[in-house]
Amino acid sequence: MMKFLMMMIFMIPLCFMKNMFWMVQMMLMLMMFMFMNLGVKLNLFCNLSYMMSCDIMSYGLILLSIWISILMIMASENLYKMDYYVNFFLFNVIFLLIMLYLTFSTLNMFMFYLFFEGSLIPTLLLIIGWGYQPERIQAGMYLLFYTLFVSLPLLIGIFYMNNEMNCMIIYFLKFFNLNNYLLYISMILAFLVKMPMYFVHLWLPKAHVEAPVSGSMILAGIMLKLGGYGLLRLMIFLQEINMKLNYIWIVISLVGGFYISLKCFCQIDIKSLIAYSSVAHMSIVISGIMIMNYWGFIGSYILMIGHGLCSSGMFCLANISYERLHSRSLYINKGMMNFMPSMSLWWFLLMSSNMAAPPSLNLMGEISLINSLMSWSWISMLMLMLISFFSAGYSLYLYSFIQHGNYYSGIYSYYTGVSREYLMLMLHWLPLNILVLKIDYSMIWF
Amino acid sequence: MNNMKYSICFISFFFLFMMMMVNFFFMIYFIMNDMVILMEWEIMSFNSLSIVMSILLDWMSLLFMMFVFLISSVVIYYSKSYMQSELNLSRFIILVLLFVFSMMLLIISPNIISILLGWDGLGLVSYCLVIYYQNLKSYNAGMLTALSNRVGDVFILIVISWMLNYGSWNYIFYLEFMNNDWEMMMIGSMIIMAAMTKSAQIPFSSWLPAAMAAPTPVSALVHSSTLVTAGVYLLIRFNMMLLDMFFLKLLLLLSGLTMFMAGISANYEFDLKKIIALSTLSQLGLMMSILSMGLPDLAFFHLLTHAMFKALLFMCAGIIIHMMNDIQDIRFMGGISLYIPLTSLCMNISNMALCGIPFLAGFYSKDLILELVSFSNLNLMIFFLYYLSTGLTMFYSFRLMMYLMVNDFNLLSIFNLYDEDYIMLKSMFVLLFMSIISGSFLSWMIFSYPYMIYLPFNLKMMVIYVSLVGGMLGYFISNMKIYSVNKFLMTYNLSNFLCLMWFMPNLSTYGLSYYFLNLGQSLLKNIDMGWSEIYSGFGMMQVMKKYSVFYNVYQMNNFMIYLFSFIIWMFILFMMLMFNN
Amino acid sequence: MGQMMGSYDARKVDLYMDDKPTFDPQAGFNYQRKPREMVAREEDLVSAKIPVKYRDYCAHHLLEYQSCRYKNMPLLYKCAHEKHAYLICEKDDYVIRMKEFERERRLRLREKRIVGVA
Repeated sequence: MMKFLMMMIFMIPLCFMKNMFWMVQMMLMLMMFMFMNLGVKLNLFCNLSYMMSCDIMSYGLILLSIWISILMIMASENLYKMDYYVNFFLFNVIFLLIMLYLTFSTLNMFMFYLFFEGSLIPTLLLIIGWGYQPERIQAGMYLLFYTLFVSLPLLIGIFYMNNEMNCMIIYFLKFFNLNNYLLYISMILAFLVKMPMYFVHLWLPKAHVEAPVSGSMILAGIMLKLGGYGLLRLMIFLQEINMKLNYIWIVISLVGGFYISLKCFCQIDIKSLIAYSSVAHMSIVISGIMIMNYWGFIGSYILMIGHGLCSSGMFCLANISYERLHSRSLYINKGMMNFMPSMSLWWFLLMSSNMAAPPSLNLMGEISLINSLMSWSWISMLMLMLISFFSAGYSLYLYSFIQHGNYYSGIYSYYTGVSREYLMLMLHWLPLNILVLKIDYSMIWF
Repeated sequence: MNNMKYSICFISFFFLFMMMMVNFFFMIYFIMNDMVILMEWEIMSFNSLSIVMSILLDWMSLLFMMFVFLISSVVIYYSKSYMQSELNLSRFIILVLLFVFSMMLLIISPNIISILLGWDGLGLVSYCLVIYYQNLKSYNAGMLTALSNRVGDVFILIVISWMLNYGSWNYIFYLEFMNNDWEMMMIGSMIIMAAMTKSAQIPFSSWLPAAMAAPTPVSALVHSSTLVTAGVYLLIRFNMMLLDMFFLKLLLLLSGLTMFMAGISANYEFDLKKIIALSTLSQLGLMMSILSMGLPDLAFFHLLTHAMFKALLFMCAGIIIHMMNDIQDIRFMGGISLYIPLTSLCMNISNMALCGIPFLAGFYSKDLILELVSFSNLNLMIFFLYYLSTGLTMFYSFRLMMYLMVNDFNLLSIFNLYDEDYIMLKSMFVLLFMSIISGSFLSWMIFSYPYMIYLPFNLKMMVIYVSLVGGMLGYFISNMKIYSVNKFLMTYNLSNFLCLMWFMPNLSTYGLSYYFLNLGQSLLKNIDMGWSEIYSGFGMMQVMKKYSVFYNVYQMNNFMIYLFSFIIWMFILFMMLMFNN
Repeated sequence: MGQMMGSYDARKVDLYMDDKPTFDPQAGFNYQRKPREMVAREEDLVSAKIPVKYRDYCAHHLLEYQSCRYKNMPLLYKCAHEKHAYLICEKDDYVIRMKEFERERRLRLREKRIVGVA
C-alpha cells in the first residue's frame, strides 16, 4: 500500500515537466492496474503496511477514485490545448488523489479526519481556479464552510473517542460501545452534510455547477462517497444510539429525495439537474446505511460505486456539450441528435443507468436498498415508488430535451464527437454495467 | 452498410426465422412429453436469498417465443421495404432486435428479478422506438409511453422487496401454496397494477393510441403482439396466486370497461392507425377479462391468435399509408379493393379474423371465450360488456372496411396505388397463412383437456346475432355523408366524451404533470431558495453581517472609548490591589 | 345469465352448487338405480399424470384422447373422434348432475310444503 503512496508522491515532479499531460494519465492507469492486482479477502483488513490497509469498502472506493482521476485528466484536454496552468492542474489532481487515497486506506481515525478535511483544499482550488463563472467564489465558500462547520464537532468526537478508549484503529471500532447522544450527533453530522442529506444539501448544486468538469467529476464521483464511507465505518460502534434516532435521518432523506426529484424538473441548467439527481440518489443511500440492515449496507455501497461512475459520466457528457456551445442552459443545448447521433447513444445509456435500468450497478443497489427499506417499514414503499418513478421522469426529460427536437438556431458551428470523448464515456459505462456479473464479490463482506 | 451482399434486414430475418423453427419443434416435443426444463445461474447467494438468472422452458414459453420470433422476423423483412428511404436503417433494426431480446428475457424467466430485466428493457426500448421519428407528436407519445411503463416497473421493484418474505424470488415454486397471506395479497395487487400499466387497461390506457406515432413496423411488432401482451403474460404466470383475490374482480370490471370503451372510441376515429390501436386495446381488455374469470389458457390462446392477425392488420395499414402518400386519415381512402387487391385481401381476412368470422383464427379463440363466459356464473353488467364489445368490434371493423374498400377513392386525381412491392407482400402472406391456420392448429395443440360447453340455443347464437347487428350498423354509419354532420352537433357533448376515450388521457397528462410540476416549483422557491438558505448560508451571512457591525464601534478610534476603558481597567486594578490580602 | 331468468321461485330453497344430496337416492323411482362407477383405473390415472380435477367419471375417454394425441402429434385433427366421445361423455355427466340438482331442489321444496302444511 505504501508503494502507491510513494508512486503518487513521485508523480508530482512529473506534473511540472513540459509535455507530461498524457504521461501523468498513463502513470495513473499503470497504478490502477497495479492496484487491481492487490486482492482483498472478506471483511478483513488486507495489505497492511504502516498505518495503511484496505478492506473491501476502502478497496472499491480507492479503485473508483483512481479511475475517476484518470478520467478527470482525460476530460480536461481543453486545458492542455489552451495551456491554462496545466502543471498546477495536474498537481492539484495528484494531490487530491493522494488525499483521497490516504483517507480511504488509513487505519487511524484521526488520520482519516485529517485527510478528509485535506481533500477539501485541492477541490476548492479546482473550483476557484478553473471554474467558468464569477459565482464560483460563492460556490467555493459554500463548499468549504458547510463542511468545516460540521466537521469540527467530528474532530472533537474523535478526540473524545481517543480519550475514552485510548485506541484509534478503525479495525478495533467494533469493540467500542460508546452510547452518547452528543457524541452521535457530532460525529454523524459531518458525514450527513457531506453526503448530502436533504436540508443541508445547498452546497452541492452550487459546487457542482460552478466547478470545471474535472471538479464536478471528482465531487460527484468520490467526495460524496467520503460521507458514505465515514457513516459505514462509524455505524459499527454507534449502533445502539442509531437504533433510537435513525428514523429522523431516514424520514428526512426519503421525503427529501422525493422533493429533490420534483425540483429536478424545474431546473434549466444541465449540470444543476445532474447535481440534484445526485442528491436524490444519495438520499436513498443514507436511508440504507441508517437502517443498518445487511442489505442496506451493501446496497448503499453498490449504489455509491454505481452512482460515482454514472454521475461522473453524465458530467462528462454535459461538458462535451458545453465545450461546443459554451452554455449549460437546456434551451440552448437541444436537438443534439442532429449533430452527434453517436453521442446520443451514450447519453441514452448513461441516462438509463441513472434511472436504474438493468443491468447496471445502480439497479442492483436500488433493489438492495428497496429491500432493506421495506424490511424496516413497509410504509416507506410510497416514497420509494415516487422517488423511482420521478428519477425515470427527470432522466428521460433530460435525455429527450437535449437530444431530440430542433436545435437552437443561433448555433454557428459545431464539431462531432472525438474519440477521446467516446473512450471516456465507454470507460464510465462499461464498469457500471459489467460489474454486475460479479456482484457477489462486493456483496458478501461480513 | 448498403453494399453488403445481404442486408441486415435479411440476415436478422433469416436468423429469427430459424429460431422460430427450432422453437416450433421443441414446443411440439415438450407438449408431447409434458417436459419442463429449468436452468439456473446463481449470481449471488446471500442471507438465505439467492439472486439467480433462470431460464424456464416449458410449452407456454416456447410457444410464445415461437410466435414472437415469427412476427419479428416477418416485421424486420417488411421494414426492409417499408423503411428503405431511411438513412440509418441499421440503427432501427438493431433497436428492434434489442426489443426482441428483452421480450425473450421476459418470456423465459420464472424469477421476478429476471422479469424486471426484460420488463425495464421493454419499456426503454419501446421509448426509443416510439421517438424514432423526430416530431412533436412522437416526442410526446414517447414520453407518455415510457412513463406509463415506468409506473409498472416501479410496482415490480416493490414486488421484489415484498417477495423477500418468501425466501426466494422464483415465484413459480410457491405461488399456489401461499395464497392466503396478507403479503401475497399485496404482491398480487401490485402485479395486477403492473400488468395493467403494461397492457394499457383503464387508468393507464392513454399511451396506446398515442404510441401510434411510431413507425408502422414498430407498431406491428410492439403494439400489437409483444409489448402490450407482456402484462397479460405476467398475469398468466402469476395466475395461481390471483384466483381468489378481490383485486381479480376489480380487474374484471376494469378490463371489461376497457374493452367497451375502446370499442366505442374506435367508432369515432378517423385515423387508420388509431382505429387499429383502439381495436388492440379492446382485444387486450378481452384477454385480461377472461384471465380474471379464471381461465388463463384461454387468455394465452387469444393472445397468440390476436398477435397474428393484428400484426397483419398493421402491416396492411402500413402499405396503405405508403400508397396514400403518408396520409393516415381514412376519409381520404377508398376503393382499395379495386386497385390493390392483394393488400385488400390481407386486410379483409385479418379484419374478419378479428371479428370472429367462423373458422378463421380469431373465431376459435373469441368464440370459445364467449361461450365459456356464458357458461359461467356472471352478473348482467359483465355479460353485456362482453357481448356489446363483440358487437362493437364488428361495428368498427365493418366501418373500416367500408371506408377503405367499398367507398370511392377520395384522394387526388393523380395517384399510384401499386401492389408489386413483393417484399412487403411476402411478409404479409406468411402472417396471412398463419392467421388462417393458427386458430385451429393452436386449439388442437394447447387444449390437452378439452372444455365442455353446454348452452341453450339462443345463448349460443348470441355471438352471431350481436355480430350481425354490429356489421349492419357499421355499414349504415359508413354511408354518412359530410353534410349530415350538422345533426351531430346535437350530440356534441356525448360524442366528445365517447370519442376522447372518456377523458381519461387527461389523467395521465394534464392532471398529473401540472400538479407535480407546480409542487416542484413551489418547493424550489420556498425551501431551497427560501428557508434552507435562511437557516444556513445566506441567513448566517446576514446575521454575521448585522452583528459584526456592532463590534465596529470599538474600532472607530474614538478617544472617549479609550478613556473609558482606561478608567475601567484602573478600577479593576484598584479592586485587585485592595482585595489582595 | 339465463340461469337468473325464470328462477325466481327456484331460488327460495337454500341449495348451492357444491352441496351433496341429502335424500334417499331410491325415493320415487320404480326401478333400481345403479350407482355410478369409475371406468378408468386409479393407477392409470396416476401414471398418466392427469390433474386431480379431471379425474371424474369420464376419465377413461380422456385417457383414450391423450394416448391418441401422443400417437398422432402434431396431426391432431385425427383425434377428433376420441375428443368427441370425451365431450359427449362430459355433456352427459353435466346433464346427470343438473338432474340430480333439480331432483334435490324439488325434494326440498316438497319437504317445505309438507312441513308447512303439517
